[in-house]
Amino acid sequence: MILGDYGTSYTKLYSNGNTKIVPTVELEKGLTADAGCGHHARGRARRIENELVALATGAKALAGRDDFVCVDVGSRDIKKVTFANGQYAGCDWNYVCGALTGFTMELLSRYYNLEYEEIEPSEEGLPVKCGILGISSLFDLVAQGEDLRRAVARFVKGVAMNLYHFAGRPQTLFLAGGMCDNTLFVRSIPAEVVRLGRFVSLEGLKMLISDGLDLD
Amino acid sequence: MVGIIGLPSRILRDKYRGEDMVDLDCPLQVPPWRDYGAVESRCPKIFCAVLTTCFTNAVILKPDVILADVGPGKCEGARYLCAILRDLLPSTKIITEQNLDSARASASNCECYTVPLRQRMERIVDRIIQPELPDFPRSNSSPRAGFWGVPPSDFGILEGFPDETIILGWSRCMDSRTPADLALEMESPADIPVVFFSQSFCQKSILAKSLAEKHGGLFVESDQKVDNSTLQKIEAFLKLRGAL
Repeated sequence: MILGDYGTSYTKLYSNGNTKIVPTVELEKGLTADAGCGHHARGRARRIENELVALATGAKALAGRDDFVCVDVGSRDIKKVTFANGQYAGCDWNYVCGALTGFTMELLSRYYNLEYEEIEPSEEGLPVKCGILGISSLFDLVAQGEDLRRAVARFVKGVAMNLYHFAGRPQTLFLAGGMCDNTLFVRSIPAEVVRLGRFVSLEGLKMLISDGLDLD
Repeated sequence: MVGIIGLPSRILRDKYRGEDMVDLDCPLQVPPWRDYGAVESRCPKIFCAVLTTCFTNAVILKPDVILADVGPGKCEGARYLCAILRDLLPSTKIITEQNLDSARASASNCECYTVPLRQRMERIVDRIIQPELPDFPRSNSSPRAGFWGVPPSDFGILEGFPDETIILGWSRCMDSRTPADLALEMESPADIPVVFFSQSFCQKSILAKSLAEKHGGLFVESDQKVDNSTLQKIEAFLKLRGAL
């Protein structure tokens, strides 16, 4: 069985017990998953499941708690699911602005050739009202003489605070998606962060199939 | 031709009954609608899609008469719009009023669960200019989901709901023929998942968001065309709350 979580930048694939991550633009042509989710699943999976449903199902299976909020930070969007007393309690999906997303931070690290794990978090954040305005503020800071790494740390803190508020300012935040691997980002969130990893939606697809999701 | 904005009072609409009527709130099939100079030069890009539609239709069709509710049953935007249309269309007789009709009609279209949501919403809207159209009968069963809000600029947003969806908010007020009935507009059942919809840039968005928070519903807003992410968000909400 092949499953795929087809994101804007990266696709997470499951095949016969193994998982791998492939840049979506480099996906093998003609590969069709049995089930998939994500922005780029169309034409690549026989059965397409709603990505919020896949995320919620996977998060519930992995979190090991009855009450929690899980946020998935993707390249172009951010998704939130909330559970209370073991039951689904709400969801939200911000897909309009890059102020919250991984793409903006990946763009910055490539532009400045920086490794995020080598940067210390900042207590002070930049107001990142939108991705473009946030980057403009960062450029201004650097132009004013701020240390580049510190300026980037302030930018990341701004994004982390946006995420924290989007999540409802929880004490514990369950994080999914590629930003789990970004140590600076995780350390910038003012909450206990439980990293669920990048395969939460794939786990959800597996659970949905085992619960009877029709693949025909 | 008589153009209608919002839901004018029955007395006013009856005065013109039999005339060629057109609902200016509904998009016409005359693309590309943005290319009309008067619209492009006066209508901001960040503006309510429904009012933009009203404005565009009025400028294109130049009705002989426009009947408009510019009171609490519609919005301030409609009042401003009519002031501008008076200036732009000197040959059009523009009659504005505040429709404060308070006698609630049955609103059975909102609670007929054997007819798809979109078809029922179309009936509610169509009845403004075709009051002879029959209402769909109220069902005896209970709803599984709710749609709260105005008739959307893009009715495609309604297609993912189960047939057993109750219509709430201003659309219900329209069906009830009491467009300024704020108490009715704010009603929402507590035990079913409700999607609280607002047109982007509409003042009703604060009602939609606050009521969604109060009732554990889902707040969504959309501009002219509903996008795929919004549709997926609604689908996920309805699935995860057991309505689909």
